[in-house]
Amino acid sequence: MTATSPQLVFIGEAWGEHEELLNTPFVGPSGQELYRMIGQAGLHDKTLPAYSISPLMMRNKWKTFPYPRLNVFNLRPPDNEVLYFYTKNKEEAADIELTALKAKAGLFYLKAEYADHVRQLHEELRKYKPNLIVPLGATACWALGLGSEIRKLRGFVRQTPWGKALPTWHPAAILRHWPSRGTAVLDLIKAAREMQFPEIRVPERYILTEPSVEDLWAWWDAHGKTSPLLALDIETANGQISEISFASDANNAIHIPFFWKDSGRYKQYWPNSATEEEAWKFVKHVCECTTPKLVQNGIQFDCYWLAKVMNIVVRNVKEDTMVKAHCWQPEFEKSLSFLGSVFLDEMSWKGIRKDTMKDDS
Amino acid sequence: MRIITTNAPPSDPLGKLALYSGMDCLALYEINTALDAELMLAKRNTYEFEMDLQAALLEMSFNGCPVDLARRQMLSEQYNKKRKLFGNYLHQMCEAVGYYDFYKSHARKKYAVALEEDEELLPLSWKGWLDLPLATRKEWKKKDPTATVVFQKALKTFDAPFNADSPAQKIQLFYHFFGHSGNAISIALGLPTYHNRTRGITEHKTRNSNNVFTPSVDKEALDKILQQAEDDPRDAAYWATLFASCCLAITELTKDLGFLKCSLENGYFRSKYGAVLKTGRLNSGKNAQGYGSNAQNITPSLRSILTTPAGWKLATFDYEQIESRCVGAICFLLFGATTYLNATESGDLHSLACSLIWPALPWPENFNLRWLEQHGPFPEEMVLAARKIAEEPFYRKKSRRAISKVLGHGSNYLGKPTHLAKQTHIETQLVERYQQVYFPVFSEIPKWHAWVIEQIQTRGELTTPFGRVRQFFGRPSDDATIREAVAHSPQSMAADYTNTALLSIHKAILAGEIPAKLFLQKHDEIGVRYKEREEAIVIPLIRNHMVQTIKLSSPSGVTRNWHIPVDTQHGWNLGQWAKDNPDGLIKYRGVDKRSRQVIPPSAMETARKLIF
Repeated sequence: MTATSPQLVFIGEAWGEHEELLNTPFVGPSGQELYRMIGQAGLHDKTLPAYSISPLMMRNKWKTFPYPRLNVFNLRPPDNEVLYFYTKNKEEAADIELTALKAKAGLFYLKAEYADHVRQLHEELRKYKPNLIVPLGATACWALGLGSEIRKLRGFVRQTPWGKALPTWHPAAILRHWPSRGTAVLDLIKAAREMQFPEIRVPERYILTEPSVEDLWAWWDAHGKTSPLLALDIETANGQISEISFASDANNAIHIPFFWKDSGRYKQYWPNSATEEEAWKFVKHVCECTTPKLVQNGIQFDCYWLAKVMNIVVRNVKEDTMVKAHCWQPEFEKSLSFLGSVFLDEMSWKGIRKDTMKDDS
Repeated sequence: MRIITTNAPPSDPLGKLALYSGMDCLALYEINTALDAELMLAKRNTYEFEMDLQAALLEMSFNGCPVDLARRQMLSEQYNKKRKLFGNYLHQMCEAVGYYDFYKSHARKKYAVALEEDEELLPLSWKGWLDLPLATRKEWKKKDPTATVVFQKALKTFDAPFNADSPAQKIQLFYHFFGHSGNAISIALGLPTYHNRTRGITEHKTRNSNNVFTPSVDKEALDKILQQAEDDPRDAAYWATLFASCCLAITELTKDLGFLKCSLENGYFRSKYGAVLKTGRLNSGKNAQGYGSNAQNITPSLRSILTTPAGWKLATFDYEQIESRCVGAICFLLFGATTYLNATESGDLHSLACSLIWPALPWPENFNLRWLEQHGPFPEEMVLAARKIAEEPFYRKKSRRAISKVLGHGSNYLGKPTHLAKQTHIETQLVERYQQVYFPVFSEIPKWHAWVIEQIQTRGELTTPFGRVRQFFGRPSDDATIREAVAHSPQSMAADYTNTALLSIHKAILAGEIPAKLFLQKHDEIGVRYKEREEAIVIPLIRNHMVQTIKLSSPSGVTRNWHIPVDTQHGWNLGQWAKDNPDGLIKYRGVDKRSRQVIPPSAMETARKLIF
């Protein structure tokens, strides 16, 4: 970070009617909504009325806001349709190191004549060297080489050649689908935290795996039974429980595999049925003893499987994050991935399993 | 033992799985702690209640309900037959209006241009294409491979009967064939609209999973087409109505068939329950192992397949007018208003509302609000006499009571006359007249609406009388957000009242006080089964747990006991009693003189019959 470099940069998509008029980004309705949201996230302490104000007034408002706002395209596409800058024909595509943009009707390539806009954006980012880039919407994510599936990208910090980025919804998308606003504000609150430092900071966590039966009991004696709370998560494949993990705190977990898929074939982890039975006895012991209490994500899923498949009656469940999330904000998603994007300083981990096991819990 | 650190992810399959599963678990731990900090006291109470409820829900899921497999098979065949019949109607109608020919001839025209051939030489059916000499087909394919593929696809698609399950085909039919010239689908298809209509059907759009507005042909969209229809043949919707009705019927039948074909576990219907709806209502679906389906979707005609094992009987407990009573309680708690609350406790809210809207009818003497306020609920004979008048046919074969029930409910939830008229197929003037009387009489209801709007626009959240807090993320000025907010409190109260009873019954069952098994919760209805000989013990005990009396306190300090009465039915299967269902449910009056007529064979017996 240079002495004058900003901590944070927002990247939008392209100009709209008002932006074109004033030659300034984010002065139309989307910009006004962005201003309100970043205010709610604590990035400024100015107010903006709930009704729409004039683009000129909005331009003045932004003047006191210290962080730059850029656009991928510094011009207005006809009918505000950003796909105007793209083509389906690969031969007309610009020579630029970015993958195709995934949109409504397939893959789109940047037209050669608009490549300079993207290059200019990259140049500006190189100049600013911000601690954090907040790409707003799919086009901005695409321009940073993150892909264009904003639904999957949002909320998690990712590395780009121009610094770390934390994608979120574009305010124009929020104006069309208002309930996304709550999520975007949560992302901006996270951005306010992440902009304080340039590197990606993720906690170092340890996962013990490939244990022997003796290792399981040793873990139980050293960590499990003394922990106030144990997190439990099961994975299933082919109508069976394929693996179970327990975490004794937020940094230490033990993973007990039963079978897994390698090169298209299922492989048994335990060398014989007797040792597998011993491993299950360990699981049964942890699930059926009264302390420590368990925390799960979806009692109805895990407990049903354990009871039906392994005859393990989980007696000591105290917490369920799915139920808790429902009581916290019933309008939000309750998946672990969504909650992780909101509460954790962690990279996205949900894509890992897809390669190895299709039948996911 | 191997140690994986999250900062150095492994690349082998087992290591990746360990990382994924371990990370899920670690994230779970941290998220749980973070959520703890977010749950303020009121939300924590709701959470603790919902956690208590989980055991009861899991128990219901485990208990499940045996299915009469023979009856299920019979109903499946009936529904399949009906579905096929509607499919045939649709196909014949498509033929009659020239739907297939229109698209095939367009495809032929385009292909002729691409090949620079005479259009008449090209076939107009897939069979015609196959009948062509191979050399000709090869020559055309070589000339323009892309156009050939498109043409072949068109012939194949439009030679097959119309598929009512295909959204793409329905979009084409309603928004292109019957469509308006400005529809987006016209551009996507690259074809002009059939008649380039100014009175065609415009697209109804909804957001897809990618958050993009796209033309939709779901139930709501097809209902809109039905509502749009004017009695004028120049209007495309006039013709499209038949198609939309047919598609809707097929969709309903497909949904019912989905329930009839759902996977059973050893002959038992076992679905999952979870309090995941925004109001706290239970939702239901396939359980963790893929058995069962949405128990909330079981239509009355399908209920009879859910039965009991030999020697067992079942009972259902359904709250009477639960949401209306909750509206009454809310108005009392907020403003101390008693008019609507008294009406809900009068014995027949809907007949009483009829007497207010149509006062000129010969209603029984004293069947009015003043008498109600002074003396409490009406005597049963007075209620019966009033109901007889209210149930006389009035408008399009509907009784005043039926109209009042729908309009009263809709008006409570801020339904506008035009919207209610469309939903209920009742004339707008009649709805307006209804509301002109309804709102002044029950003046606390518009007052409550105004209160909810104020809460949403100033605080953005609502807390129900049972303490459930919900923030609304919709635009505070949107009609949809406000309507959702108005409906939230009564619906949430109803859900919590029912779930409290469910929890109480479950605890009593666990304690051995009630010899019964919970197997169903469907909206405001709870289902249990028990041994036949224990009916006299079980039903009164469960009724006691269901009817929970709550002390309401108005802002001025006036208190009042409030409860919701429960309607009990019993039988050997979940369908209503009928001549062809003698074991169905009848109202519980203490003794059941019936004896079981049909004992469904077990799953094994049915399988044996099928095999041998």
